[in-house]
Amino acid sequence: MNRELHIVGFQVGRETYGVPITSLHEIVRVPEITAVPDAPDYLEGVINLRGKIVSVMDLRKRFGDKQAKLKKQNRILVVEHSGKLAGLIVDSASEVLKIAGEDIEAPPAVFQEGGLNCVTGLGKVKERLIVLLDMTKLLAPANLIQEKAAEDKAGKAEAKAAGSTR
Amino acid sequence: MTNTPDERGAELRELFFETSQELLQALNEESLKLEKTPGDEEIVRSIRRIVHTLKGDSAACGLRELSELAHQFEDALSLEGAAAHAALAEISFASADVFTAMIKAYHAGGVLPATDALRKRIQELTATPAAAAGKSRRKKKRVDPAKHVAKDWTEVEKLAVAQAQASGLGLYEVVVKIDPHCAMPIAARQLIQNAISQTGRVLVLRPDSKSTAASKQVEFVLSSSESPDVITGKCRIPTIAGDVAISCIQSPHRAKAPAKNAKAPESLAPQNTTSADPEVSSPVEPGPAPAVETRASQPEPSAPQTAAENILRVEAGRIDNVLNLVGELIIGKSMLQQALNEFGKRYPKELLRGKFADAMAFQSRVLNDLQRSVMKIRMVPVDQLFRRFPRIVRDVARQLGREVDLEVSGQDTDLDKGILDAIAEPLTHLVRNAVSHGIETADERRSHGKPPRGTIRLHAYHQGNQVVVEISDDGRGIDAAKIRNKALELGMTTPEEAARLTEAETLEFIFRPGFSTAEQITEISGRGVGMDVVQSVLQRLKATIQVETRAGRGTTFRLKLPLTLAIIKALMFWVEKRLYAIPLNAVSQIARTRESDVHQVDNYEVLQLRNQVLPLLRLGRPCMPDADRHASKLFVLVITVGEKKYGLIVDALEGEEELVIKALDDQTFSTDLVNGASILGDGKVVLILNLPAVVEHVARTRPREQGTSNFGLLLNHDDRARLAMSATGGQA
Repeated sequence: MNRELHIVGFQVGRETYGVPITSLHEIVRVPEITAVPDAPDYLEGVINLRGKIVSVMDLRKRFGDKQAKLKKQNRILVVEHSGKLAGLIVDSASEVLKIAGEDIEAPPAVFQEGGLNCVTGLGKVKERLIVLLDMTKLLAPANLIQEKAAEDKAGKAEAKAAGSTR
Repeated sequence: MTNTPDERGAELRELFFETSQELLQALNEESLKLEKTPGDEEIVRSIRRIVHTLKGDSAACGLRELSELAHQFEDALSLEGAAAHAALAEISFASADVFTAMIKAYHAGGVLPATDALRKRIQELTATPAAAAGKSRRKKKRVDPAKHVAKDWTEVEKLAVAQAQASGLGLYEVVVKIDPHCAMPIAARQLIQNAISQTGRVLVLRPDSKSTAASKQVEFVLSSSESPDVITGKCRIPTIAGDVAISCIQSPHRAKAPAKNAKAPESLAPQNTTSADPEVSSPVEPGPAPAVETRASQPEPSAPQTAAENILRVEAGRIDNVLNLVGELIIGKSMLQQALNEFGKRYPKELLRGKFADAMAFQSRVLNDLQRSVMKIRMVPVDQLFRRFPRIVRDVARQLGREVDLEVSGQDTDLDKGILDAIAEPLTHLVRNAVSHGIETADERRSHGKPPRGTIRLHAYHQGNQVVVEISDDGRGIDAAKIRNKALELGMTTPEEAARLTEAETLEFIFRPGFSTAEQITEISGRGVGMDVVQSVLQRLKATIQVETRAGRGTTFRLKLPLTLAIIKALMFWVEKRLYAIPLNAVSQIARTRESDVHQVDNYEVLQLRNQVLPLLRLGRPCMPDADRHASKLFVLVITVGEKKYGLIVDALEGEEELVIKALDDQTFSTDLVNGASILGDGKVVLILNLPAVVEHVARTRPREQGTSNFGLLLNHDDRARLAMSATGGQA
């Protein structure tokens, strides 16, 4: 891999992440989001992208910041993933970066174990670290369902606990 | 012609897979007829025609095994004794099955099914000495084509030929083979037709453009003053037309050369040769056998000529595309409407408003027509589905030793193709069930004073903007008590609950997964899977099913299907500042009521509305704390799900609108509460609720304690947090 990789960099929290530019469809301001019931909390809902219905995931919530609120600077990265469009809410989309193939390292094993298997590598650009994401894994239904099931379980346990204390 | 041979082959195969379905269906139908009137020569002939076409087409696609088997069967059929053979119908059914399985295997690229059993049975037919068989077959084939041609001519054509003969022009029969490597056989056919019509008047044109045979060769009867050489020359178009065979029926008065290059001449209809005209040249002796062979391979299904010419085969995807665009237009229309309303509010005195309104009204009328027309394209008569049932009923009835008649009515009722395809499986299941569970054995029927033959009725009709499909039998009916006991046995209900259930509610158990009352598990039914599949398919289609049964008199399943999947009339309402929609046909009543009318029964909230008591579903916030509870007013939508009515409490109503359904990305959202979304005129996204799932959710999470109730189905984490903050001292 001597070729340069073109990456769209964006901020979520303090970190810069990157997705290959080829998987990016467009970047839009956050429009009105219609929430979908019974969905995990990081799935914000759906938006109307010029007549298409696109589901939107809040990457900040996905990466742990459950209290994230929407601000003016927030953007939605509309990415293409197995023929469908999906939106990712990020703090801001910054730049297009070129990373040389040799500057990309494999993700540390900790990420895999920590359920962050959507990280494909770590890129270095002028001493900055870019976390490269794999769209397919990020949006893979298996991943989501697993987490949802876990959440459901937690929710039920909570409910039980609440029921017994009352 | 940039197509590689591979692509062409694949295209040809696709076409074959499509047309073969019709052939197989026809084979099934003819076999059924044959079973009713065994030994009917005419039916045997038409079976042979079908098998022959199948053989020819499959050979053309390189499906060797299939064509060989078809060939064998066809040979057997052409034996004189075959028609009288008692087991012929049976073998015919079996071969239809094997052919179907083979085609499926070819299509899926799977392993071909075993054909030995069928081969053996076919050989039983050909048990007569082989030599005699061969001879009689050859003889038959030679006679057949002639007969065939004569039969194929319509009255109009015969008349035209007779006139042409009288006029003294030359009369030729021309057979042009279309180059098998030509990528566009239909276009080639048109080219040949154009070329040939320059030379004279085309009286008869075979086969018609709709049939598959049209892509192989074209046959003309032509009246022309030109010599056969000129005509042949015209027809020879490089890379399109292959062999051209011309035969002279009647040479022109100033004939120069009598049919020089006649290769595969045809004997003509007797009425032509016996005509008094002395100029009629007697038909040339039959040509070499192979030519005749191909000739016989073009039997035409006797389709109504006029209809065939007006039918267009279009890929469903293209129509869907148009329908999508119409959907967008409808969204555009409501955008315009909204803008106009705002305009009217801002400039109430502006005269231009009237003009806009007129134009809008006109546009929306045209749009409605457009929508209806496009939807009509997708509509197909339910007959396409119904016609496969005679065979199914026969098979199941035979297997179980029942005697069952099938009556079909309303088969020309139109239904969206997508829906039709989707209900094929559930409907098949219901029909099989009707035979196996519904109809009793002949003895049992006799002892109840019923005719020994049971009857199953399939009936389709329009009702409002729904299509209803009924499957009824005159069998033993469903025993509600038995169902109740079985449900108790399977732990699906408690004794107290079971005692309270109405009959309609009891019957709903049959749609639960794993429920079966059959004492024995058979190949046909009794595994307890099936009815729940029926239910889930129907739910997906936003269709409903009703059961009506009378002990000893029979059962009726009534499927109510939407006309189309793409657009629904919906009622929109607000819950927690969010807009939702439900299908309007599920709403039976909209009422305003007060919290004081809500009562608690067995931890469920119910609402007394006039003289009915409805279970309540709170989609949004829980009920208010006692202080201001009795004063607050509620909006209740009375909805019907299955057999039951429920009250939905909503915050406010928005109104009704035609919504163009768009699918949610079901990979990311695994929820079943919502089964679609739509975009409104102002660009807002509205979610369409899946009512059966909503009701089921509520039923599943039953409240356990006094004072708690189901609420917040449509709330998410944020809402809950907000409500918990605002409603201090409430339930949370």
